[in-house]
Amino acid sequence: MRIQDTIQHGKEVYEQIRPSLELKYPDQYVSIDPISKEYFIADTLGASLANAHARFPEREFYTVRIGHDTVMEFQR
Amino acid sequence: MGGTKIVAGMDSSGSPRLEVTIKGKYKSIGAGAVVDTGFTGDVVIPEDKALSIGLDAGGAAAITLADGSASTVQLYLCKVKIGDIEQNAAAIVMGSDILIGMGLLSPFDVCFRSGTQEVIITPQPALADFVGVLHRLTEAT
Repeated sequence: MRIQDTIQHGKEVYEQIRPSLELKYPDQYVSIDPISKEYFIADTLGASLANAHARFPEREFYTVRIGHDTVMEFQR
Repeated sequence: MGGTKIVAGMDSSGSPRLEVTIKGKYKSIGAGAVVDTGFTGDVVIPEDKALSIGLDAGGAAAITLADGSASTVQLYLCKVKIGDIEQNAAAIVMGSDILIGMGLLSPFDVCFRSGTQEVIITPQPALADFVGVLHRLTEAT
């Protein structure tokens, strides 16, 4: 799956679960498998991605910081 | 010993730099990394180093660049060890220097001493206690 496909399909799943995640897990990180629609929440980006990778080693995940537009920033 | 204080220095450009170990799929490397307090992610790794240690592609995400625009990037999985503490990390492959972001410094108290040109990185007390217990258990077995 290309990176843009991962993002597009991952976003579609995220929009379905977004209200409950923003209520329960604000500012945490979620990695979503666009194929199974399983998702993995953790306090850190690395932990969320590692947990998802442990479950599905061959797949790529769409990762979001819950309640934020982007997962990380480069600030001036 | 858990909770070891790390003293890092400033490089010639005045950026704080500390020694880290980055563990990929094939091998680990020890390297000097720039601490970028304006980067909220985990780690940025240059392509040549990423290729040499081997990184699994882990995902894709949107990021905010320094000019405020958004972009999408590929995220790779690795482990980064700072002092006694090893963490799972999401790496971006780009640039020519290893950058450590605030995402990996959250377990630490970081103090910049401009007078001595030092960066003092200390594991936060609760985590230091936990690491100390782990070390003692490891030594006992």
